[in-house]
Amino acid sequence: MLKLLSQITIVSVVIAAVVGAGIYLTSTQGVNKTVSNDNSAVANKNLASATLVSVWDKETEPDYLGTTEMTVYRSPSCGCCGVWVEHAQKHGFKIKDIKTEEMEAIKQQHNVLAELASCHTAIIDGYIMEGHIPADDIKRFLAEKPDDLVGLAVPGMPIGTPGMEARDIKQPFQVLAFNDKGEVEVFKEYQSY
Amino acid sequence: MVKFNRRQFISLSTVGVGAALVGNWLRRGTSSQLVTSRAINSQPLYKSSNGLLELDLEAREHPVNLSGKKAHLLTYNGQIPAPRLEAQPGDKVRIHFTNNLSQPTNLHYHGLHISPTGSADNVFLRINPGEKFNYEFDIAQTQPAGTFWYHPHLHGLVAEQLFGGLAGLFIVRGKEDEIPEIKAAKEEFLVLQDFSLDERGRPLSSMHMSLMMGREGDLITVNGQVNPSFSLPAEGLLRLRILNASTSRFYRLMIEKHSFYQIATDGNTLNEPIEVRELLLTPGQRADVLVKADNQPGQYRLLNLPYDRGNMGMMGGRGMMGRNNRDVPKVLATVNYESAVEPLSLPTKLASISGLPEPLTVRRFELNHGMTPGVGMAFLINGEPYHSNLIHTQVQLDTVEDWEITNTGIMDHPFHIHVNSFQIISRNGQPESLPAWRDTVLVRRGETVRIRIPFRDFAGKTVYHCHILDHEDLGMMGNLMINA
Repeated sequence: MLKLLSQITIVSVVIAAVVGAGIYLTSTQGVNKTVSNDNSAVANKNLASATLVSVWDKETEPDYLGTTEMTVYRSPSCGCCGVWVEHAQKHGFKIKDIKTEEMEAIKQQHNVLAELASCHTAIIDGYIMEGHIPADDIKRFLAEKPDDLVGLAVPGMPIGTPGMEARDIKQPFQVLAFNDKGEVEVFKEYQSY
Repeated sequence: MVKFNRRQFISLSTVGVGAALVGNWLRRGTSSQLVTSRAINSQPLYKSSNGLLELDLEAREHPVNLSGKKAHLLTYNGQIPAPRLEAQPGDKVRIHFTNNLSQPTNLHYHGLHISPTGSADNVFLRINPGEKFNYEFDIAQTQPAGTFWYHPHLHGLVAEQLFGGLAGLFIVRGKEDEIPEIKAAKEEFLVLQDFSLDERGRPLSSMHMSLMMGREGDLITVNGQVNPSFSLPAEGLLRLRILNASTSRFYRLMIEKHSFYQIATDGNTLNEPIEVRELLLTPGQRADVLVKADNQPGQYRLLNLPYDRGNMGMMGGRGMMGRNNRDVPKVLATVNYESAVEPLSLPTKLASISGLPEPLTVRRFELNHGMTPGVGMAFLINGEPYHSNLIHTQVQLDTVEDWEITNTGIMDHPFHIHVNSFQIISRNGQPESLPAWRDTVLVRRGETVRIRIPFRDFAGKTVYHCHILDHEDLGMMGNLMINA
């Protein structure tokens, strides 16, 4: 099994990613335009309306035979969580999508440490999947079914992770595996992708 | 609550482990040593003479001594902060600018009422590495004296370049400086910057920062120094001119056992001094304050108090990692006076700010963030991320408008408009009592701020944006066309 790193080692890993942990995105539908004149654009508005193609869309674990039923807890206003759910569905996961304002309670109940926290929390096969984890890594983790680990986490909301794509920005990030003692190891690292 | 089919092997002890991790960050955050080195007034300065401020300004990476630490920062003329520029109303300004950075850049003259076009405050210029550009503009006779500043403003790179250190003061001297009590006070400039350096002394790459929240560094400097000392003169009146030049960090300032007597907001002189115990400065904002030596002789710390600019929704009271410094006051500088002094009296009348006429046009702006087609994650104004080819807002020169800015997101956003200053009319419908001119206003999460802005003197295209510069770079900006 994977070797556990010391807590201090992960400090630098987590520090960058976790700073933004738990920001959830609110969609901005329905701006109430009751004003005398709105901010109409004069230039062409039909720019780049194509859907963003994610680097995470390709199927990399075609032979996965493990559990596919996953429960995702997220805030009703979390836009990027919804995009991550779509990502997971695209990779064959069957999602029970639970929208709740009680995300803090959910994370406390599952002992998701603040250092590991992101926006959404998913439960699959008894494991915790916190944040914007590539679906492929979940499959690889569940195929191993490690009994000394309780789940995976991508702390914070690194830009470029599944559901957090923004233009061409690709922040390096690590998928961390954690155990019930709060110890963490690097499960997979994405430097460039 | 839903019951889970899962093994019950997570013990509550993990919470304790978490606390230990937090401790590591805390130690990291406070490890910088206390150094007070060179005199504050040795800051480089370029002053106008005979109606002309002319200088060479070179942006380049340069090794600097950052409070005893060798750091490779982005500098103007090798200095952190950049050289202070001083001019007077009516002066011509010529800056022979050379970009020796590895990225394109440009200059923004934050707070100055000058043209947004041509070789003036033109943020659409792109000066490539190795290129030169001559900035040239006139400061109008009507330009109020005050504390302004300059920094890069090329969309997409603004946060990274400011975080590298590129920022300096641009002071306009004028009749406001001749008010006897202000003239008699000892003047000190405080440029607040934060840095995050790797083991080689280079700024941490953008790719390793939390862009969503807006990058913050754990090394906070005042004029490039950690905890410098400022002494009060025998006359007992100190005039602090404070600039928040950080990309994202808010400063909530307090001096132990002393009040601030604020005399200017964003460089614009108030009608009279306002006594405040605390001073909140968002990125981009300035405050001019007087401090009276009205206590026992001694040393008093200038503290940065905790401020929560976004509590991350679900994480609530558990605290956010890497931002735990918000729970502990930090010492930014020390103010001292040796013997009991008889403080000068404060000025009573400074300026006469009059209200603006009721406008015909009211616009609404909604600040938030979310997913947008073709862009992905972005920070948004009225549901749209910035696009350089669009004109998001068109106004008519020589008109006054009210802008109602609503923050429906979960982080605070300081809203900055280039070229023209404005007055706050109300916050959440409550009339603002203090008459003041500003160029950057904090719109807290859940808040609606109504401002009144006159578009005067200069037509052309410019911008408004969130001054958490990562948010600006990630789309929270709009193009503003002022039509002649």
